[in-house]
Amino acid sequence: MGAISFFTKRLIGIAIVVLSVSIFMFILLRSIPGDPARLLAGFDAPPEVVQQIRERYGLNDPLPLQLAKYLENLLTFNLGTSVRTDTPVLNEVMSRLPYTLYLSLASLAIAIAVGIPLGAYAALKKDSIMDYVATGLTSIGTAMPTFWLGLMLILFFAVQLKCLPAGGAESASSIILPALTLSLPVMAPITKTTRFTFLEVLREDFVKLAKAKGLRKKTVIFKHVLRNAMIPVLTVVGLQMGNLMRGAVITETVFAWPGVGRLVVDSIFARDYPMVQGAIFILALIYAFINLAVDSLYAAVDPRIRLGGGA
Amino acid sequence: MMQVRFDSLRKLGSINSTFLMIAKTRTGLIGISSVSSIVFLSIIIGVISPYNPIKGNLAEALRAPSLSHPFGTDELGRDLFTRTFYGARTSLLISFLGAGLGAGLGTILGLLAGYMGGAIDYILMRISDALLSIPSILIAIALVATLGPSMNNIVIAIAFGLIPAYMRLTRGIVVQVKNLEYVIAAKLLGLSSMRIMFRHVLPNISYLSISQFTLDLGGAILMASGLGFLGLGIQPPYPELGTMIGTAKMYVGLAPYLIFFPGIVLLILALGFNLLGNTIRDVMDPSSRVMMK
Repeated sequence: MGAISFFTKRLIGIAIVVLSVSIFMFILLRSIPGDPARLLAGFDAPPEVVQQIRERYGLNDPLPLQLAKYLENLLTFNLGTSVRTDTPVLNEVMSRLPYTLYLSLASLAIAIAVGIPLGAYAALKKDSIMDYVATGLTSIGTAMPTFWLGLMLILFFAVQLKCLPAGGAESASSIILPALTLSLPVMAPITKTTRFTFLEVLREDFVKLAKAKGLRKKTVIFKHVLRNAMIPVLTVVGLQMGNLMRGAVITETVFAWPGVGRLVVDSIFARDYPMVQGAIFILALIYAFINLAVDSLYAAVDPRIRLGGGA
Repeated sequence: MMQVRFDSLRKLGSINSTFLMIAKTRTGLIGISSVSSIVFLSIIIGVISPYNPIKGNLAEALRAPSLSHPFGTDELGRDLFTRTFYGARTSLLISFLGAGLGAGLGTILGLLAGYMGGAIDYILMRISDALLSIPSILIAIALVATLGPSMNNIVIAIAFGLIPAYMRLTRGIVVQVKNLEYVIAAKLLGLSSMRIMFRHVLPNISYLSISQFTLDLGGAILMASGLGFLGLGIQPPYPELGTMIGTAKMYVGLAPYLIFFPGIVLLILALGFNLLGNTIRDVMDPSSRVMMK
């Protein structure tokens, strides 16, 4: 199967995902107990406003027609206007998106920069102190409540030492604490997989041969072991998008970081349903496209992976 | 390969020997002891604590840890030790129910898909694909935000994120098992599909879901407390570990123990469940044991 049909297939997949997300949200909004127009208007709104909203959102139309209109709007990226600020939802989400991407990329970079060398070192010096550190970090990293870690870092660095800001995004150093917080749950699986894969590759015959040939240790590790261990490690890095997104929503709330995750949470409490819907829609869309990009990357790195094969 | 599966099945059949094998490993022992000590404390907290978890004494507000209040008191003068273990009880209950519902529904749907095949299989698996492609935190937030943060909705929100994994897991093994002699024999005896699925196939494959369930408990408790922290979980004044940390976050400089103690209990619980889950998986499925080395 060629590259073109691979992408067509995946794009159809993305379309199905987006469609199901939208229908899911549509059903959710319609299953709210009570009148959606009253919810959108706010509980203390006068009846004329509620009536106006009912007409504006076409809530008097039959349900299938409402669904069709709703999907048509999504297709043209017309995500509606915010109930709170009366600005287009899309603009607000797009202005917050760079912050979420910056935070996620910084965390991913820390996780990779620490996780891969640590996992590799732990495998090379199996049963050493560093190996126990790596294994411990893996277990604790997986079990760590992100919000608690964030608050503990604020307590230590912002309240006690007063050397880093506790929140916001005003200064350049504001990124440090949130990025550290978000990197831990991502670092744990990367370290674990690197260590495990390195141990596997170190047992391979070609590594034994390279050593027996008298190659220098450095050459064996970098040229033979590292290259062969990279595919599983890359896979795990690619699988971290879900982890990153979950962490981002919580980390942004802890550190008052002005990203999309915090926008979702704030909008929920402001009962700004169009904003909640729009932001979740955009996040799901980005998630789907990143997954497509990651899958294509494997194919580029490993010629054995045929595009379109298997999944 | 099937031989391996039946071996593990035998181990599951004798609960005693499974327990012994788990307790024999170091990680299993740490997992069991940390989880069971917190579960034990959260069961007996009503007996050992003289304080009310919801009504406080304002004159005693924000006291640092002391002999009479080992974890200190919160902004409303409630004993934090009492609230922490009542909170752990809530968190445990939500994650057990949520992971249990997800595992149960996912297993049944996967069984249906795998055994029935055809259109049912196709539709069910496409639904699972769609669910898998949305990050579970977004599903949970959307559900709880629109339907309201009641106990039922939080449990459903957690279950939703887990269902597709169990569907795939179960379907995968059912497709193999349904061609084995005992299933064919049951068919030849003229038993109904329902009876074969639930009386013959399900008992033979449930060990997979059970070991996955223990692995998911740690994640479920983090999800439940994460929702609580965001204000989308159990609502105050009722104690839940995430909710407690969320309401205490403004006191981070003034009374850090309000955040520290519930968080430590949460970390120990999640860590314990993860270690326990890994050990149970290794004991029940020897093919994954290499990961331990």
